[in-house]
Amino acid sequence: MRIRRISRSIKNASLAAKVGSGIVLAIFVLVLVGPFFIPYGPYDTSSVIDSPPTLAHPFGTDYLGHDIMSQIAWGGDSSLLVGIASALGAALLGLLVGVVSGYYDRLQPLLDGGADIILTFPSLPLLILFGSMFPVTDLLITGILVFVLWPPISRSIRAQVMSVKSRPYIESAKVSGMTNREILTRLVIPEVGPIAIAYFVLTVAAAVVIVTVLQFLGVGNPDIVSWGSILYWSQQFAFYRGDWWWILAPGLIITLLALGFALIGFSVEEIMNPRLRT
Amino acid sequence: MCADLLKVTDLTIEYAPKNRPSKTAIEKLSFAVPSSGYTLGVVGESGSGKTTLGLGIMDLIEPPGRTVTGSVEFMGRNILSMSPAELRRYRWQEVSMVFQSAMNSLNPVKTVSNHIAEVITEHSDATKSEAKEKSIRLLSDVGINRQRVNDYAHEFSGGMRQRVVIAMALALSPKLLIADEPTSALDVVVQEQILGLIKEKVSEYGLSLLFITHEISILDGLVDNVAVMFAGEIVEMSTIDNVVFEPLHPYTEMLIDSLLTVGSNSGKLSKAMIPTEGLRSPIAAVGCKYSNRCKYAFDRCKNERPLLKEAEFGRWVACHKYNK
Amino acid sequence: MDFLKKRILTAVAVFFVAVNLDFILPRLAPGTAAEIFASGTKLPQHTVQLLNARFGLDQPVFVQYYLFMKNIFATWPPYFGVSYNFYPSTVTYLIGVRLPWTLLLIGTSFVLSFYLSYLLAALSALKRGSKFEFAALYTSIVFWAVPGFWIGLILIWVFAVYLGWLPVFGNVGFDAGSGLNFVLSVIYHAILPVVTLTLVVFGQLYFLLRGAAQEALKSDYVLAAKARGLRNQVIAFAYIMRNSFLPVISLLGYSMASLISVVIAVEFVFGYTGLGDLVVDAVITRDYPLIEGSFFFLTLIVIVGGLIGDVLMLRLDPRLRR
Repeated sequence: MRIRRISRSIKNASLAAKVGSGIVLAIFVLVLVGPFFIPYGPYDTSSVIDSPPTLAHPFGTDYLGHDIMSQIAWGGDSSLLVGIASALGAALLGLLVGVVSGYYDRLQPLLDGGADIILTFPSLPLLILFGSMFPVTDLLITGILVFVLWPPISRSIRAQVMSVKSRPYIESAKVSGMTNREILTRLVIPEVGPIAIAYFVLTVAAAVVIVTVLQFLGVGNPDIVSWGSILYWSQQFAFYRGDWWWILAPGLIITLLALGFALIGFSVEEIMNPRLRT
Repeated sequence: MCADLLKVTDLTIEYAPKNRPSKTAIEKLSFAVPSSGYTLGVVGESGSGKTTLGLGIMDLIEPPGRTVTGSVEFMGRNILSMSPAELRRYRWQEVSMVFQSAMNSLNPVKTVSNHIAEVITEHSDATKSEAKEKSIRLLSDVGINRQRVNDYAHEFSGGMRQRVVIAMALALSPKLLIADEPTSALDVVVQEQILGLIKEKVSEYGLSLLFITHEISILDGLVDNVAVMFAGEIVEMSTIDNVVFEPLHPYTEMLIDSLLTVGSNSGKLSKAMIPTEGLRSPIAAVGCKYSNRCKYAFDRCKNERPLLKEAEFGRWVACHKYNK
Repeated sequence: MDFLKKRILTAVAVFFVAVNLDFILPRLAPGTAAEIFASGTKLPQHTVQLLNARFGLDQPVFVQYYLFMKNIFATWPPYFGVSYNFYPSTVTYLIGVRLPWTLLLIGTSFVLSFYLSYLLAALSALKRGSKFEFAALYTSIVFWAVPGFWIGLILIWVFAVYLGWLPVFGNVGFDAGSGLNFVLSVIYHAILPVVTLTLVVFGQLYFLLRGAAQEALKSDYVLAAKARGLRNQVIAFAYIMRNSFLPVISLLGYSMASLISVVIAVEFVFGYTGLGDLVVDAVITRDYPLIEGSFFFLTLIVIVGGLIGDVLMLRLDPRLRR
């Protein structure tokens, strides 16, 4: 029954969601399949330096002759992997905490306070700090991102749960003898599930951007090709060498990816909106 | 021959939400409010289209609702084809409305006197202080103390808020006041007070009144005439005494019957409990809409839709029983 | 008043935890500060000991904690020690010099983007279903998604490098002198960073504002306002928008936190010497006193921002007042 509902909503999905999905899919293809088809490696230098976009090098080359398209195709997996993994972790944790703190009043101040503190603490400096103290691995970044990203999700889920909790059918479920756990799993979570998915998608967008910022600032090893590190180098050299494509291409790809996810996430949230209360 | 104050002709309004079948809220509805001072009660259960009628008269039907055909003429001019500026003048200066839940019709961030003053300054050349003075007068006229004039809506009780809304409706001395279930959300004692207030103001200002309700009993002493609505149509219309003591339409009969069984049997009207929707036969799609539930139904009823006709002098019914 | 008291209490609690984290985190790092300070070169034990003593790192942790707290809260100005990198300047001095610039940036951008979002949301509410509304919505989504620092890079390219109209970096020209010249130079240098920041915040704000406006649009009091024959502009501003930015202001505190991250990246891109740029520097060079100090002030900004939001709420929403 729920499957039918999901497939119906996919068909009814707005144009925005479809466009967003298309963009995301295209970039996924570039990152996953691209490396097999692009004739240059990301670290291959060549004599064709500072080349604007041409047929041979659709995204141009940088000051050492690296093919930028290749760099983007190869450098994307860390961003995507970390982005999706951390968003998933954050969404699951946020869902858990949100549901529990929304439903069980006793735990609320504790969980909410914890979320508050994390929300107020400046996240980027924290990330940079950890990044510079410990060896930067994808796992570390994912872990910290999950830690930083779950509070906003839990907040919204909590608000949702609180409004669902007050509905009459929950009352009647309690009276008819359902255990709290049953109520939560069978009634509450299906109600807030879609919204959690929307937030998951939006968090992926945010996470990918944050990872890029970290790479851009030089945290971790800028010599390893990644979307942020391409910009790290381009910021230093592109301006005075006139290589505008060097700045444009990687940023555009990141923007498109984030935009794609944003379109999906926002249109799902729009559909869910009538039930949302801040 | 001067034009009727309000003349509704063949008004049809439907709601067509996306991905759902459309529903006709009012179908080919026609009636008239002939002159000032004419008071009409519109009775019907929820879903009968009475609220839509009220909104339609002010051209406040918003998507997914839309006015399909018909006209609403106020003193000869069709308001449905007015320009936005004319419409804005028509609204509140000629016709004003009191909604059901007063809390929800007041802006939470505006003071009570501000609401009224705003209406005055937006519709006339009055200065801010003149408007404020007038609003204070109007409010005290409905029983709201001068000291409370700068309070916000949420600081008043339900009954007080309804008084504010009434004062606001009278601010520009309109010719017609539409009241859409103004007392349904209030408790009985307050309800009496508000009804009394409305009655007082209607005669004081010489207004016409269009009072929409699902409780026919409260119309006692409030209006002279009653129109009964069923499934988006007016099925009976006449003076209140006629309708209550000698109902012509079978639906009206049922309504009055259920009234008298619940209340005392001394002829005094009391609150009616309308039977819930799910237990009754559906509204007929062909012929007379009431035919599925009507105990007098015969062949013609199932095939032909009866039109609202004057069966006797001053008594209008839409029923084939009187159509010979 | 209870509302405000509760909020202040929460803010103090959060701040307290943050300050403690401030103390704990840098000390979790592998390697002592002295070793970092020496950037990996092997120092003779004697020197290491001297350095440790100099920076108070040879004391037991509890003493360090006590001194840390005492220096921050019991002395004025709060003392965070001497920066490793900018030795011998004290941390407080460095922050004091840089803080106003960052505040200038944040303040201006916030105000501008608020006005922008407000205006666009009001116009969208007026012209419902129009292309304008569509454009405004999707533009804001785009700006939500774009990395702020990249907008900065693009703007630098177009306006500073290609067109040469605006400066490439810095917060003020070298030869700006003082007085009017100085002020003009500041403005001249601030334009691009402010524009960048404004666009980013707009992306976050607009969607929230619009959501609230949609809710307000469907409300009964808007219908009643139309029934009263009020003009569309009046309804848009006094009824819809006035009620829409209440929920948004309450979120001010939280948006400040994410904003700080963007400010940091933007300052870095523009070489704008404010607090954000300082933080990046400090962290990358493991300048612990500076890290502690700047984290402290960043958190303070976020909390104060949140409280400002709460006070505004109190003033604007009559339902909270009495």
